[in-house]
Amino acid sequence: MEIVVPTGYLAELINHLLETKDVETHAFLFGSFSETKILVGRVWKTPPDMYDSRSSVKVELKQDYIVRALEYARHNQFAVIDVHSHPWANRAEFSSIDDRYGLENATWVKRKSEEGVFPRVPWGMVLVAGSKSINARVFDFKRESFAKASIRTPLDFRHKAEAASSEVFNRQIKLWGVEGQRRLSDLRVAIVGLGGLGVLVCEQLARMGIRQFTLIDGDRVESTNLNRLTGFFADHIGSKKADICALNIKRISGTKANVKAIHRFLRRRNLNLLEEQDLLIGAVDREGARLLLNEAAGRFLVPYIDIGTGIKANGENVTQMGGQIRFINPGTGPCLQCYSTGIDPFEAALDLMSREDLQVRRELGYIEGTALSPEPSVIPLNGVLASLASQEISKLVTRFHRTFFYVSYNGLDNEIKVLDKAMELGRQKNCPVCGIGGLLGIGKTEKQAYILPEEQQEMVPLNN
Amino acid sequence: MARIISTEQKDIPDYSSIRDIKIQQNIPGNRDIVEISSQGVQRRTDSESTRPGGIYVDVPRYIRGVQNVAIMMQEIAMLKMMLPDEINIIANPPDYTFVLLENYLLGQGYQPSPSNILIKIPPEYPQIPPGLNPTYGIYVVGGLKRNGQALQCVKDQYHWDCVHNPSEMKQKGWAWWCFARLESWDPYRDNLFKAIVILTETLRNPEQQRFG
Repeated sequence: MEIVVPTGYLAELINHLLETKDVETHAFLFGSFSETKILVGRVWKTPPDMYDSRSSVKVELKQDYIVRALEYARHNQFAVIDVHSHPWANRAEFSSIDDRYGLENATWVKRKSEEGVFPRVPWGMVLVAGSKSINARVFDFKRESFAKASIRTPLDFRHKAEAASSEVFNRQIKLWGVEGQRRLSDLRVAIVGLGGLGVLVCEQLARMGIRQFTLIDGDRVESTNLNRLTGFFADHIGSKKADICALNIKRISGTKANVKAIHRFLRRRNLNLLEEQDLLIGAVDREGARLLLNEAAGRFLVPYIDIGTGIKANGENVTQMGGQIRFINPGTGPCLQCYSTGIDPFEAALDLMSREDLQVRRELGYIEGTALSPEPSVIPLNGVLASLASQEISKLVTRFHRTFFYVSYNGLDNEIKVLDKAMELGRQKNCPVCGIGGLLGIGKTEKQAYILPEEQQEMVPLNN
Repeated sequence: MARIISTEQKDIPDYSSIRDIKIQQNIPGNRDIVEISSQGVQRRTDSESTRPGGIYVDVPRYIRGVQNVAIMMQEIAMLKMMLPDEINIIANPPDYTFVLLENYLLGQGYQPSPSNILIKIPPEYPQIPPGLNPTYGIYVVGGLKRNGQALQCVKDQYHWDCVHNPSEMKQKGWAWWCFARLESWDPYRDNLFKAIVILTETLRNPEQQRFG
């Protein structure tokens, strides 16, 4: 079992746990879970007045606080992770006291779940030592004992890919090293939107050595696409874009490529296509798809890179030409909804409407003939943005340099601007997606069912 | 003495203009003030005056979480606080796919009135607003009359016995009230109360429908 914690949450958690060096400190983590992982979306840092006793070797919490935590988990069907610190220790090793109380707590959950009064949710323990080393374990209900678990951030994915040994990668290994190359082979990436941007990004990622792709696009190739889709030719007209793109990747990557071509548009009903991924790339021109991608990134704690271009031409006069790349690290930086430009609610609503509803809007005259018609699109601009995005992805995955949260490109003046600190953009505390009561880490759960009174208090009208 | 509900309830002078009340209470000039009475809710312009015993609301603009139970619980609590007691507010926890207002006064000349209003909540709410399309619409009862005349299906407003009202809603007796031209929606702040205020105003002044 692995426990996935947003990078920002983990840093905050460790700070809280190691704030005092003379006594142990406690916290609860909550999150949705599957067979293989727990997605942590909520952190309760135990307030000082909620300790019954606290020393350098032991913490005991007040009974009513524990009851509240269990109620919270019960209502939301969340896994519970009991976290504490050994601030004096160099290595995070559970003590005999931890073993005894941990087992008592976990068997209580097991017993209550058998009695039907508490859901059978995973019960885990995390220990943080003064050296910041971390140990994690999750109770195995069948064996009635704890099994070792790993704790990681969304970007710290680990699978079992071998280091790519092909000499094809020699020149780039000089930049990001063998480990960087292995991480690229390891990455599972979903690309949504296979237009002029998505196709170019696919090709570059395949050439960088990424092997595991999920390609999502419900469109077929049209003659008007051929001005900007590399690897697409006239004989592909009418074919599914996802299929042609998959073929092209396989030509680049050979038999080691694992490519899933999904000839469907991203919809709420198929959002789980994005669940088991390490990175989401959205190269879409629709706000509805952006809304869903942003939601999936938050729900499943998967980093997301949004790439977009735009050209505004007023007759023969081009007034704007450019694009941007936005990197969403769920729970750490801002999500797409947090940006001041956010997600246009009306365009998103239009994109997510059923065909029947769109037809009604057309009949009533709310959709002009041009309202959904495509904007100008050219390969030079797409090429710049796709390359900038691939560049950021290579940094993100191989870690040869820090990744920027926001890169904007002005194609008219050839200007690039970057923001590299999440704080500069500001994660909105009350964001509908990543804020209080938001969707972070709730996985496939339809809806979060319960929040604490104090969480709700933070949501009351501010009227300002 | 009139009262205003903003961040807290306060007494305000009678016969004062809404503009003066805003200044006195530090309420930004661009914000709506709504009067709540047994007649339902009515937006008051800056030049109108408070009346003795009147209850006025600085229309709440929420900063809040997401389309989930927490949001809906909060919104329903707000509606219960803001709307007159005569109006029953019914929702369907834990899904909260709709909110039903029973016994709502539609305005002078309407039959039946008081009547019911239904709001279907889009899955992406509040990232997208309600009412934009027939599937996740705002509905009034079908066969509505005004001054004895059956309401006609009109663009931007009432859709009952026409192809634009979804058949399943018609079968249940609901007519879609079209908000397709809603022009502003702030996912962080706007809420169901805004939709109710706009609907109520439109019913009272069908010629002056406002979409903001």
